[in-house]
Amino acid sequence: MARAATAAELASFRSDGQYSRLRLAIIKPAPVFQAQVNQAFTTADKITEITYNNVTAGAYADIIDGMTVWIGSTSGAQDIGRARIRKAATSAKIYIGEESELDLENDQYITVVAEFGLWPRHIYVAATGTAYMDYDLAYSDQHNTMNPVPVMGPHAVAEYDGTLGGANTIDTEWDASDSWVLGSTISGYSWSAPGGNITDGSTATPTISFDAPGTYLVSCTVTAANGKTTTGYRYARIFDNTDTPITQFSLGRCEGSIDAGGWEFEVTLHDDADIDDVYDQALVILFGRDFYGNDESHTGDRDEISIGPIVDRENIIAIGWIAEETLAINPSEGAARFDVRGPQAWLKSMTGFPGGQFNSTSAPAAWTDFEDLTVDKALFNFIYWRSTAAIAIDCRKTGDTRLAALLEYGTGDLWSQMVELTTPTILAAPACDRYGRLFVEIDTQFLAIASRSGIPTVMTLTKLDREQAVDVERITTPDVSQISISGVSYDGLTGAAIFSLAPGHVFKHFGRIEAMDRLLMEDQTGANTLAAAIIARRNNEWPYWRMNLQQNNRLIDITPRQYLAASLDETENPRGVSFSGNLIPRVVTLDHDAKTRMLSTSIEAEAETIPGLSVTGTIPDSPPPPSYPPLPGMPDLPAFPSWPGRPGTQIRYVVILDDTEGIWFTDEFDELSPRWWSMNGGLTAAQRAALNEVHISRTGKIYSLNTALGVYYGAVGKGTLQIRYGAAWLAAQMVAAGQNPANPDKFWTIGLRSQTDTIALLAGKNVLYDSVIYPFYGTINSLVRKTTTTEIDRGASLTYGGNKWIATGTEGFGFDRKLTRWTYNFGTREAFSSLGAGGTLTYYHHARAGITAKLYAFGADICDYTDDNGVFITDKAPSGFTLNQGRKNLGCDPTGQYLMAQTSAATKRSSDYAATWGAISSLAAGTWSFICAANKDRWVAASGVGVMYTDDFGDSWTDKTGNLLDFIPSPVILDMAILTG
Amino acid sequence: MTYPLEIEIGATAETMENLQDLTVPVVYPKDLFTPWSENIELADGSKRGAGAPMAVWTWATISQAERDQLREFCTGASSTVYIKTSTNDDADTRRIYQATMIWPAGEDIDFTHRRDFTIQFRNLVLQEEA
Repeated sequence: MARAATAAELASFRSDGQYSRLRLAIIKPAPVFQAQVNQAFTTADKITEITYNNVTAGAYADIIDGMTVWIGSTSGAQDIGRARIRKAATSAKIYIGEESELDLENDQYITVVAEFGLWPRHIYVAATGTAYMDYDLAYSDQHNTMNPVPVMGPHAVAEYDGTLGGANTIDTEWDASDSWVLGSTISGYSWSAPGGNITDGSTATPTISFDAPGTYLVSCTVTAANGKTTTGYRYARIFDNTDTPITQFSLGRCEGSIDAGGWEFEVTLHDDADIDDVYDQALVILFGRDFYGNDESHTGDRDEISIGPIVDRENIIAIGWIAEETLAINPSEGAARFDVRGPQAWLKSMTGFPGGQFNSTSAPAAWTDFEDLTVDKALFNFIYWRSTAAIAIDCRKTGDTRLAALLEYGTGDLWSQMVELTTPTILAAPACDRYGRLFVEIDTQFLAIASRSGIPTVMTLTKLDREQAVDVERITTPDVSQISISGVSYDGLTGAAIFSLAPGHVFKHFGRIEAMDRLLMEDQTGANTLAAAIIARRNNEWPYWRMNLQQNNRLIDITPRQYLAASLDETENPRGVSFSGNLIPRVVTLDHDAKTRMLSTSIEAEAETIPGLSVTGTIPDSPPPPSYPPLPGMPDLPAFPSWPGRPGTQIRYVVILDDTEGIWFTDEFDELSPRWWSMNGGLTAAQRAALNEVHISRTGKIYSLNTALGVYYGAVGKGTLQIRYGAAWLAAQMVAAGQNPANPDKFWTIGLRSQTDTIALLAGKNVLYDSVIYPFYGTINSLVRKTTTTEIDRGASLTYGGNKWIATGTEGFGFDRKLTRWTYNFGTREAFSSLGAGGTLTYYHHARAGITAKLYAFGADICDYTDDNGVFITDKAPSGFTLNQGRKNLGCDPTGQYLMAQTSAATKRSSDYAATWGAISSLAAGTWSFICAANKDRWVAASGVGVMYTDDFGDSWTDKTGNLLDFIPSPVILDMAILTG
Repeated sequence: MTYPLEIEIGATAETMENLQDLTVPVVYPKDLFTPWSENIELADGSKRGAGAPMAVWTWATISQAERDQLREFCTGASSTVYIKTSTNDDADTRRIYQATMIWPAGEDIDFTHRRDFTIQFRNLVLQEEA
């Protein structure tokens, strides 16, 4: 944690003649096992194990989960690539994290080194739907009795003045007392450091001494009271006068930024610094011998002392791994500049599969479940099971205890996944300090004042600490006039929506309105405080300070939370404004002047803001229905011309529902060969095969329905679905509505108002000739049963448009076809019309024009048309062919003039409101579903053949199947949805 | 032996020699010592000395042979040496420092001599009391 500077340290910061002699330790881990590949590979894809022989060093029993494997064309090389050991080796095989980038061949060289880096762990979903972690680790109790997370401090580096050996030893101090475990307590520590001498090795704070220079691997096995253990690993790099650190280098930019999430620095090494011994992605420790003044004799004598926030790591300036290098090619003297980056940069460069956690009301039984789910539990899953962060670096939890029904993250880099997990929910964010320690904290500005009392003030900045020049930005006109936040207070079973406004229902004089939703809330009071804190931060009067501190001050960092007290005199600026308060460091830069050896600190900061006014918000709703007399019917609009503007399909997502493989989506529809991703995480094979329909909202939320199990919900890209309204909920609703519990319940269909993420559900009793179906209306967090019933049950479609909800379907087990229309909030059932009779239909869906009152309801051999939202029905039954009955076997454009249809014999299109039909000859034979992509020319079609796109109303088609058939060899499209724009 | 001035130089602390004892004796320079490298102005108008101590040896003129003698201690742009040089204690006290010897980037050649020849010693680290 951060801490306040002592009086002696302040005196040192303010002394003359400070300088630092910089050092560099580049860690080269020791090999623990060497052998050769003993296997011919037919593919490089999805490699998880390697058979070996010809062991030349070490024993397979020395290989530890988390170590790094180098594969090379020569002994000890890594030119073929690197991988991570994922579990204990056997006498014939090593097991690695799943890889597709190693071009493995027989007889290549294997070197396992004692390096524990940052790696993603992938989740593997078997054909049965069962998820395994790290390829083959089945879920047992990992989310019920959780492993401890060792927090053992940064690597150590020490320099002995003289020659180590005999009585000449050097001590390093270690501290794992901040280790933590969810749901239990830490009960023991066991330290190991081969080559070192450990004192108090079963305590949290041992001393490890060394009598020879070298690189030592220090491990700490932390035991929890629940019986689980975890071992963390760090290095101790020891130097003496026979093994000296690199000193012939220059330090370039060395900066930590809260926006970047951590620290990076540049070092330039010259030929005489063993450049050729530096391997890619090597761990680099930048440290210094620091000297401060108090030179009363004026002889240049200095006190050698390093000042930092961590005991016995004060000499460390920054830690990271080599990311990039720039080589200066020079015949007389070569140089190499290395960019060294902290954990945040590496986590940003590693792609992880999507994931998510659901709340469970009982002991969790799968990798996707936690009982009493919190952000910290999801974070634990992420750092411990989805990556190796927990053993390689210090990871701190948020401490937040708010419950959540679902926490999820989409495909992306590990860092953004962590941000997605923590920021939209509790306004926390990950950040790494100079040592590479990961903190996930709620920003100071979003904390209630009472919660800020423990934040240390590192020091009070006086005029003795800085140059005269200070850049200060002062904002006198509010940027935000009103902030509206909403979220859910979840108790583990049900959620209560909470709304809050700041400063109140009336806007500030200046600024724009901002909204923030889907937050996790504790209660209304907390929400109001949060709203006040957010608007105060948005309108920060002093959002930017920049100043050079003329001192070697390494107590200040961008994380963990800390203050700098500061003031500004009115005499210091021409405007005569003054300031006195706390600053929060956002950027910290360390500059080293090679000429003077002065290491000086500069900071960029923002002033702390104090929450002001806020009130409980009003639950938003759609506007009330107008009281005006009915408007005359609108004339038909002309067909929209093609938009010649932006290139590409203008389609952000295409989502399909297959009859057995569930929901799949692509966000690369503009690519020649789009990649398709599964949205079925959290579902069994039976569950995904039972989904009946799919919808996508303007905000990218996926809604689906299983007629027996209920409503499923997820965010596109996150790969997981969660059931939100299930059988128990419906049963309770039916009891509350006075229905006979003996009659079976059933979910019939859902509809979506895309722009507002408002949904409607038709569900109720499934009784022959006597079904009672209720509409439920609201959001995914709060569905309210309405009193207006309908008789429509099976095969229904429900859509929103023109401020009306319309359902079509059959009544009484398919003998009558009906259309029902409701007002926007299901307050009134406005129409209940009979549709055409005849045929042998089972389903009766509809295609609805987006901007007119036109609707086509279709069955096997009928097609009923209305141009007034169902008041007057006319028969558009096409002659000579029979329409298929899938949900999207008929599609129309937003005007209703252009249609595409799948008949029993061919694909058809119409450009005159279904009056006449022509063949779509350019599509291969199949059972096609159609959906119009915003205008008459752009359509997406999907079938067992694949997915196609046209931008000329079906004259020509482009294949967008991509890799879909790799996952679903013979798709049967039940439904599809797209999101344009 | 008693020297007029105790100004010394060597590749190591043990091999330091008075400038007059070098293979080619070198005349004593004007030696300037500053306990820090530069002054920085603070917000209250005061100054802070920043950086390591430094020393500067200056000769108004120095012969080619003397110059070459000094060059043996610094064959490149800089080197690590040990010197005994003035401090600001008083006029007669000199102390031993480890230093980075900076060879002048340009030399003003005047026939067989150099004029205004200046060598900087940066990053002085006090070794022991004189």
